[in-house]
Formats: sequence, C-alpha cells, structure tokens
Amino acid sequence: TRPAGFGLPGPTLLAPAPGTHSSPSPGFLRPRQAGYRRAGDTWCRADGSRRPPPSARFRVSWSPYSGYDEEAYSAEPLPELCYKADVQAFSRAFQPSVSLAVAALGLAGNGLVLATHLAARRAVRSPTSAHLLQLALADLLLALTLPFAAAGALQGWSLGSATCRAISGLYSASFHAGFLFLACISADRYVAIARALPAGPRPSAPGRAHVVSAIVWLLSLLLALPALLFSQDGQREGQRRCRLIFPEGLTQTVKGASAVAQVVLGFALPLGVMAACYALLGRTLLAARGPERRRALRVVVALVAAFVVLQLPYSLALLLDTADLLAARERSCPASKRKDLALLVTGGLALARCGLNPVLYAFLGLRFRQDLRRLLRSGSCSPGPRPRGRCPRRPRLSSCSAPTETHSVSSWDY
Amino acid sequence: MQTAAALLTLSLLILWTSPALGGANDAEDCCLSVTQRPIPGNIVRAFHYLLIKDGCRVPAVVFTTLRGHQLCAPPDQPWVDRIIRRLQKNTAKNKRHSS
Repeated sequence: TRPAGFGLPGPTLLAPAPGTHSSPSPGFLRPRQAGYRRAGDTWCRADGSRRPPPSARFRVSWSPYSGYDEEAYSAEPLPELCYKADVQAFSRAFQPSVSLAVAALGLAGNGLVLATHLAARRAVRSPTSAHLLQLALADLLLALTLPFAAAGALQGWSLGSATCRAISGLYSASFHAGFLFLACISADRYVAIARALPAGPRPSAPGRAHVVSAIVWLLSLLLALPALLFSQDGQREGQRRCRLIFPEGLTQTVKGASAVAQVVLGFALPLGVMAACYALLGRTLLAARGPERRRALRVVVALVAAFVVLQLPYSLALLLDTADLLAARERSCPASKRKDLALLVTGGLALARCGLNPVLYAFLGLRFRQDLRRLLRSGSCSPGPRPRGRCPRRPRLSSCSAPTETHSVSSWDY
Repeated sequence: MQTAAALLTLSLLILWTSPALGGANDAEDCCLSVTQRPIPGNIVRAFHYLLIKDGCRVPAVVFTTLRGHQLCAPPDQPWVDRIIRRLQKNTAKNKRHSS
C-alpha cells in the first residue's frame, strides 16, 4: 500500500550504533500483531559486541578476521535494505517549500476570487460562475491544509491523531472536489457554447448548478472517507508522521469497493468529462469565426497545456510506479530512488496546478477582472469620478454579426 | 475476464495513487525484495521489522549481519522465525549475564 497522508520522510536515519544494546520489548514475541516500531526499542541484539553466537563458537577460525563471512556464503548478492537518505534530504527541502509556495499562491489567488465575488454581490448567474466559486473554495481549503503538511515534514506531526485525520480528510476531499469542479466547468463551457448554436438546448433551471455543487461535495467527502478514517500519526525513524495506512484487518471487499469508487468517481469520470468537453469545445471554436474566437481558443489551449504540463507527468509517474507494483518487479535501489525522486518532483508540479487554478480559470475571465476593478475601487462605481458613471460592463458584441460568436464569447466572461 | 483485470488494475492504481498530502510519496527506507534462500543464523547479530504499516510495500525482517549488512528476509518463513527466536533467546541470556 502506498502510504498517503502526511507521507513525508523523517529527518533522521536511525543507524544503530554498534555498541547499543537494547532489550526486546514484550511485543517481540508476536511482532506482526503487536504495534511493532522500528525506532528505539526494536533493535534486538543477540550477542554482545565481542561474543559470537553459540553455534559459531566452535567453528575453526582460519581467516585473518572473524570468520563469519557472509560474502563467502553468498555467491550472489542478497537483497539488502535500501537506504534513501539522499532522496529524503531532497524531499525535506523540496516538499515544504513547494507546499508553502502553493499555499501562499492558493490562499492569495482563491481568496481574491472569493473576495471579488462577495464584493460584487452579484447573484451567481451562470453555472460556470457558480462552479468557479466552488473551485476557488475547494482550492482555498486545500491551500489551508498545506502549511500543516509543510510543518509535519519539517518537524514531525505533533497535533495528534484526530487532527491528522481531519486535515488528511480535508485535503483529500478538497483535492477531489477541485478535480470534479474542473470537470463541471468544462461541461458548463461546452453546454454554454452548444446552447448558443441555433439548435442548442434550452437554458436549464437556475438552481441546478447548486444541486450539482452539493453532489460534488458529497462525492468528495465520500472519496475522502479512507483518509478520514484510516489516517494515523505513526512513528517511523524517531519522528511522528501523519499518513494513510489501511488497517490490515480490512476485508478485501471493502478495499475493493473503495478502490473502484475512487477510480470511477474520483479519476476516470472527471478526466473523461474534461477530455470530451474540451475536445468538443475546441472543435466548435475552430469551426467558428470572428475576432473573439482566438481569445476563447487561447484560454482553452492554456487550460489544456497547463493540465498536460503540470498534471500528466505525475499521472505517468504514478502509472509507471503502479505497473511496477502490479508486476511485482524488483528494482535496484538506485532505480527505486530515481523513481521516488520523479514522483516527488512531478507531485510538486501537480500540486502547483491547484495553486494556479485561479490564474487559469478566474483571472482569464473578463467578468472577474471587471469585478476585481470594482473591488479595488471599494465597491463604488456610480459616485466615482468616472465619466461613464456606471460600472464598465462588458461591451456586447454588436459588431459581430453571427449570433454564435456573440454567445460563445459571453460564455467566457463569468 | 479482461474487463475484470482492467478494473482491478485501475482500482489498484487509484488505491495506491490517491493523492498523498504534500503531493508526493515518502521515500522510506525499505526492502525492495526479500531473499528466498535461508541466511545462516550465525552471521546475524540483530533484527528488526519493516512492515506494511511502516510504509513499506514488501514486508520484511531485516537481519543485521556481523559485518553490518542489512539483509532482507521474508517474515513468514520458518527459518526466519528460527533465527529470530534464537536472537531473542541470546538477548535474554545476555541480559541475565550483564545484570
């Protein structure tokens, strides 16, 4: 099981000094049932530093040194423990800095999105703007958990098991919600453009976007259940860390059901919806004409490029990792470390995508920029000295002749 | 059959790839594989466990040899249990001697 949760490597490698002599704990006799930990109490020394094991005592020692020569025994190298101190050192520097950077970006960007929306006091008009608001909320919650992750990586988890569960659950729920809302937005955008076509569907009921949002949050909470239930702060290498470890007593049915739900609802569904909607959208936009077409296309290209550059490497690295796991392929220690490094770096990129969502989805929108301008002018437009006397509305594209273009453009400013 | 395999693959993918907090996995010190050939007990001076709950994929007993190598052994083999029992007995004896 890949440990999720605050899976951040500990700072100290426990290298037992040759002279240490610790007694076995009572849990030793049933080590697989007892909570067996590696730190401190786990080193069992059979012999003192000088005394050889009894069975070896009567061996004729003819070699210049001890005579207990494992290399003489093993013709081929035996599998050894793979120490990853260098990867862990890199991770200790990399993960907190990425977490804190994304947290700062996410808090500022998404906070701004929410603030402008609240300041504008405009009723949520389109489903897209409703879902953008929810996306900002999800990313804001995600950004709130990241400082905890950074602190946990830097100095160990000190907040207890309940907080570990709550933070991990919040992280998991907001991560899934973000992904699902991205899919909702892509669907909204496609529907908005399809509706602008002469034979498009009729506008839907205004409350439906909220129902969809509620369903998405419910779904996200469901997907976060494993993290919510099974996260624990365990000790490893002398440091407490918060991470997700499935209990070994869990039945395969429960695990299987949870896994299938995660696959279908948390990954395949949003990814499929996004791919289909942006493909259809791109095709529609390419077929359209007019000056605003290029702008709309640019936004789509930016979104898809960001997704490909930031998310895809991580997905590919995970795929490779999982293929290894399923094939039970044994990697050498250097290869395993390279893989860990790749997962670490691409994981940082995937996290950066969450921080960049406001830039990609909200800031590129014209209506958001209008609202921001209004917010900066402290909410007052009409009494201002501006000659126009009212808030600058997005100009209707009266110059455009084709109704398709007019509407398709209006679907881009939220 | 193929659908089931694909579904299983996907399930496992997600189970193991559900986003780790911090965006990356933790590079734990773990055994990547375990030896199937028995290790002679007389070259072992200590042992400890590295199990699934320690964040390792391959549960293992790590034997520290007299020369300081850390060898990975399967935790469910009789020969491994024998070595562990002997190490524990010796430790108890040592303790009695030293106290």
